[in-house]
Amino acid sequence: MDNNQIEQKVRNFLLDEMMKDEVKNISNDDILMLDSIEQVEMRVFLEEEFSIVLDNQTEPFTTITQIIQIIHNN
Amino acid sequence: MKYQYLWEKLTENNINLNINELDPELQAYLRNTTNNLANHYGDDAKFVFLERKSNDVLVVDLANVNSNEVTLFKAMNCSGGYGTDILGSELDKLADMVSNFIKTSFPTTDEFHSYDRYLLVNSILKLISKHTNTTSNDWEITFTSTGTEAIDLAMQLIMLDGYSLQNNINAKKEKDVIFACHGAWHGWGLNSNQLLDRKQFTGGIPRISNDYKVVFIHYNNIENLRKKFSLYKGRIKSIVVEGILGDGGVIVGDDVWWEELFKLASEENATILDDEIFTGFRCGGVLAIPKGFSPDCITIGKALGGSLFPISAVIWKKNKFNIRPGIGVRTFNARPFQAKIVNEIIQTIIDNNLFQRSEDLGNYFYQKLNILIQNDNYLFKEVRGKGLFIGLELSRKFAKKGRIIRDILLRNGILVEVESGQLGLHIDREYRIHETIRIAPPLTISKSDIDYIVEQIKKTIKTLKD
Repeated sequence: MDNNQIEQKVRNFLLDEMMKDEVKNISNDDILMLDSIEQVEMRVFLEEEFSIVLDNQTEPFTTITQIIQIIHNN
Repeated sequence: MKYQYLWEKLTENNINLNINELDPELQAYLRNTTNNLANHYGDDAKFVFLERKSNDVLVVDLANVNSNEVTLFKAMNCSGGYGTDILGSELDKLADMVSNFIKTSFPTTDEFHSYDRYLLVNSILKLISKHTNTTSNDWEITFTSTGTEAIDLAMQLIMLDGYSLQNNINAKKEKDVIFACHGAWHGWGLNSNQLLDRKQFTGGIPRISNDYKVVFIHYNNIENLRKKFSLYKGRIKSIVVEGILGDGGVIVGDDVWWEELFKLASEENATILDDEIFTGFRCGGVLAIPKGFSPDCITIGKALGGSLFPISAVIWKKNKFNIRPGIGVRTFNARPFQAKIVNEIIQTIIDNNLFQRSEDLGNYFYQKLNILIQNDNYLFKEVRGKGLFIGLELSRKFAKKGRIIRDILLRNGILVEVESGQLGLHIDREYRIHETIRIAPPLTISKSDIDYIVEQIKKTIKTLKD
């Protein structure tokens, strides 16, 4: 899966599952403003969709670029 | 009242105060509210509740506390503290009795009887048997503190059904499936956790999957119900279901669905656990389940303690479950002090005809909110509920902004709570429910209170549009 495909999956999740309509108008480097429950939901999404296991040291999810990087690193 | 001086300052809906105008003890507290208290919701609470007067709560908004300014306002109690407060202003009338109860009550345990508990058992079973078209003698009851404990005990009754301690044989071993509902909430314990379907609740908590498979059904969906019964035919031991699906978005089961559920359960020889911990006493009757349906086990709680203390009950059919010695012993099993107060709470409900009142006022409330949504669906897409348990499902634009909307509603003078709805990858799109605002006021609320609440909701919608 290339970066564009990963980005699309993450954006679709933010838009369709997390109801973050603002994602339509933000760049990959804009701050996402995920609250603590949304942080958990994003973690679950990454585990289920990309079969990655994140340790407790993972920084909070802040931007789409950072999320893509986390997926690559794991 | 301790904060009478603050109530008196409230000449308008809300006022801004320099924190130095407050008494030193309160100042110190407001500057450091969190202390070492665990934070269950991820974000720090922005409000402090100081005192109740009738159905109003005195609230301090801490948004600007770091600038030495706080906002003071009063809010109408439409949440009852997770639905526990059913008497509201009527609680005041119990105050003198409580003082006397403290002086005369004695601590006792499960090993001894007390007359107050005897009276409580009688009054609860009378209500239950009338609602379920049975007799008091069909039932057995025990008490727990929290609702989670009640569900825990009910789950143990289900698991022990068919098991013999004498020969260590489970005669119902082939019954290894328990049905639970998507979006349900049954409390926070190892057993109740097995009945939840969301990873943020279940992740890292051990499952009972070695012995049982928990299968999730969609509440009030008859096709899904038939499909799941067909799929697991012969294996279904019990169905755990709420009287109204609460956290999943305040979904009311219709009579046809309940009828099918009881028919299929009977054919399957599966028991039904009806969890009425939230819904009990507030939906136009002692239970939310339609009258005449008779589950095998029922849990009630929350309202039972009138918001004063935790007390819950597990009630089961004698011919379906039994409790062996050593199971279910509790330190607080409706002690005389608790039993006396709960007896008074139930008597207050009966004397004031509050079941009928909650049905009538619920219908009035529901109609007003329905008209509001039909005219303007900017904030809410649907109203659902029964009696004085009402849910307002947020529109797509605010689908996951429940807590933000709750805070705005609070600042506009009404205290509500948020249900999670049914969102996430584990729920197919067609079944998804947005976060839902829960309105669960005391049953003593008046029509003019309801009119006020609806006006404040309209005001909130206007504020959001502006």
